[in-house]
Amino acid sequence: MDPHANNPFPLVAPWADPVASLGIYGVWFALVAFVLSAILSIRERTAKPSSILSFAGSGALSLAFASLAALMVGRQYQFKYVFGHSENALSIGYRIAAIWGGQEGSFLLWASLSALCLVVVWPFTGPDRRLYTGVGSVLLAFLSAILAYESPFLRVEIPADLVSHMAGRMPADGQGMNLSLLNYWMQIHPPTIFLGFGSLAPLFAWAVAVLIRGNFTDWMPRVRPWAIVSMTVTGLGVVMGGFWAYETLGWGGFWKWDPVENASIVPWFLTTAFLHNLIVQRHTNRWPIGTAMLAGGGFVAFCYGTFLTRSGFLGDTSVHSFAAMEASALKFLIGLLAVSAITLIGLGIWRGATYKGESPNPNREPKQPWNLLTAYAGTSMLVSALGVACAIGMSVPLLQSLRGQAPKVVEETVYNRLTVWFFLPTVLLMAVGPFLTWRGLNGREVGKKVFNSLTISIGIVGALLLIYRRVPDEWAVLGTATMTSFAGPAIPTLIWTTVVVLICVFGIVANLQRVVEVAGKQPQKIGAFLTHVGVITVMVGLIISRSLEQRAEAYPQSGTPVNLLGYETKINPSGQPVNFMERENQLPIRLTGRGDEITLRPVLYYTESPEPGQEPTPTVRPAIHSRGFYDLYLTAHPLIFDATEPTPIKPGESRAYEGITIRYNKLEREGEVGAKGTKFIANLTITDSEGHAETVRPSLQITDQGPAKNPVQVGELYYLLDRLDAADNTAYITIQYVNPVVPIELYFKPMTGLVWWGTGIMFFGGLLAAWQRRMTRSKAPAPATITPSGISDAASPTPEV
Amino acid sequence: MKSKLWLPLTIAVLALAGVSTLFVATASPYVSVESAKSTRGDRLHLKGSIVAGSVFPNPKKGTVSFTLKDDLGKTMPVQYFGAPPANMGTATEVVAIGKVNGETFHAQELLLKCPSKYEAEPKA
Repeated sequence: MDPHANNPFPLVAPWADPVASLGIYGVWFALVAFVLSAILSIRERTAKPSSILSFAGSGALSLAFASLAALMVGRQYQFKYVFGHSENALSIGYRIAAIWGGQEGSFLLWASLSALCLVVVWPFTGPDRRLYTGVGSVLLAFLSAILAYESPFLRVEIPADLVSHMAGRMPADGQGMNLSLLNYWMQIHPPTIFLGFGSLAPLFAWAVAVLIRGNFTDWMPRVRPWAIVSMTVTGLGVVMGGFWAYETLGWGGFWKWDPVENASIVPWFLTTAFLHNLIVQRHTNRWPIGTAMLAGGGFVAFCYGTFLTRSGFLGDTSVHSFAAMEASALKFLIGLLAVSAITLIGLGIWRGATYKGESPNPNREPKQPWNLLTAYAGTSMLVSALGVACAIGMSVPLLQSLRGQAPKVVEETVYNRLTVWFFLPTVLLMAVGPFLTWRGLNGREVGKKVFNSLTISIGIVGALLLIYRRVPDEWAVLGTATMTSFAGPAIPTLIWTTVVVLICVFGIVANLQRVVEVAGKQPQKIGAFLTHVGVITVMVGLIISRSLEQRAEAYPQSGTPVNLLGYETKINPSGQPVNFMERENQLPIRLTGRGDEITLRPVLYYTESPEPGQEPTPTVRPAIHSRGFYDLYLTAHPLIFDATEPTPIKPGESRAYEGITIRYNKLEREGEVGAKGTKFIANLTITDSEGHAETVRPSLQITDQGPAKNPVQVGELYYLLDRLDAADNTAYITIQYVNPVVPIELYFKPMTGLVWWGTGIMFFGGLLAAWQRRMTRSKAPAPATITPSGISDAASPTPEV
Repeated sequence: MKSKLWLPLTIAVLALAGVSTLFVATASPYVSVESAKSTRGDRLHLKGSIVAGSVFPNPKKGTVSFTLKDDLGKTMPVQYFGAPPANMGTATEVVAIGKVNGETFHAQELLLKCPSKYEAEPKA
């Protein structure tokens, strides 16, 4: 007879251990390979083995990622990471998403995608290849070392009494994914944003290589398409995170300036600044060192953000609670941050002191005040400053800690006030810049160029204001409403929003005008202008939806209509039973009004708590009804059962509740004191507002699981004996609703659709720009070559890009 | 270092110092129960855990009241003006943002620290 016939633990898959070993050894092999590659890259004659080892290490990291994916998809719960982040109930999509659902997996994703990006860019690095390989290997060696300690391949610790049962077996189910992560964005957003973060590694490696070599011209046409791809993918990932927050977290907004969000957007700011610097360098030979430093700055900023958000420094001051990293892994992360930052800054200072530079291109020297150099310089400085400001903002808890002071947090309003100083001038530059030339224009010429765009923009904003006048009162921001302006004091919301939107619309129209103008002559510029249009459109959507939103909340019971923002709102109008314990249960809520009837279905369900005696856990997600120009955003919050708190009443006393009188007559007992099954009964007389009296007997019964409450129902209410004070027989009575209250919250959010449209335009524009630059690059002259006597520049002038 | 770099570098350093000072000066402080009583401001961040069984949403008033226990073990009643947040039952920590009114902390906002995006909440 098989002694394991009734063993509840399933057998592990025979392939699981070898696959996990592949993962473990893959990480260690990668670590050794990258260290050797970095060492071999020092000498020119060992460049080839250095590259081979770097590729081998990258392959090993991919293998480790594939191993974790196999274990996760194959539900191999004998591994701690799989057990902690997956479960049988998860679909294949979420089981794949569980790979990056935890700390270790997200590091593996970052390392694997960084390695992939470094390999993809490698063929384009030309004369910088050897140093690029070496620097890239150093970065990946650090990431591999982190993974060696922060390993996703550890086994579940088995309690001693289960060891004999668990030999060759595994837990029957995993702990599952955090409920708040069970959203389709979990499958899309992390891989996208980590691809963006991964794309920063080649930019850093290349920038360091360029700073070491001291030749700043070769890489410009080669790196530009990659910089555009990096900026586009990172930007897309950031916006996706905003969509996730909007649709899932019930914040009612896309952006909160949380440190986790800042850690993702600061690299985007720096990469964007780098791209604009690169254009200036390309055309004027100016700022080569600053450009290279910005290229590497994105990676350093991301390492810094990762350190801040995962080291525990922000543990008190972020709405996310961050898992503490394994101590050795954290040291390697700090090492990566320190090495990358010191290398970049040190090389920048050294080159700044020693680099002679090239003469500015005389054909591109500005002759007039309104010129492209000023526009690009302004954009680059403003966007860099925005990134640095955000980095400082999220560092405030660290600064406070270093000063030995209590933690503080920079709030959303402060960020909004500060960033608008950078944002509005940047948009103005984005509006005017496309019309400028390197030689420059005078004020009158600029006025002529932008006159049409500005006039059209004023017309559009005027029309929008006329349309806004027709918005129903319940949805409109009143003229008396104020908001904090950039200067601090409150100013009317409508006026400030109109000013900001006018500047943004000007930016959009101006760039669209340029798209039309250059379509036939310089089509390679279309991508950049469209990217501008996309970015500003996203911002217009964010600004309007946040500043002109309207919110109302109510606490109705199911079937009882209430008025919210002009809609008669009724929960579960059909009266059909709703199973709140069913996963992804949607609660139907009907909105009637304005000649319309809409049924929205926000998610509200409960899951049993694994801890005995604990109440079930609610999960809430809003329902969003998009109508072109606005969203209706409805959230149903967890049910409220209690009409009163436990209220003490002594025998003979009465309490009133909404016209009902509750008299506590006496305490009764059935059974012996201390014995199981004994009941303590509060003898109550309930008298309603019409004078009808009824005697009821809610009780507390002693059971094996503790005291059990036995409520009684009178009309639409339950009466519960919550607890007793044995000293004077005081009863604590709670009144509960038979039909629970459902708190609901309805937002009117205008123009949120622009965020979606803007993201699409930005992504399309970015890819188009990268593709166009790639096409142009392929026609460029041969790059610089390495000769026995040193490095020679390309013979021909820098090609136009 | 080239002399022409001094001016932009000086401006950059001053700007960094200015932004840092602004952020630190305008940042909202995290307080304990004791320090909340002696700290001025209407955006105090009172951090702690929710005392089990103390949460009472009042649909008539549109409030949620609960008792918050700080890291030092001191407790304070909190009244939050709004609907009960979804993850109130599972929150590992709560940050009530508002001001002290008598013996009660009046919160305009509640930040509930949920288990991180990168750390699943253990079931058992």
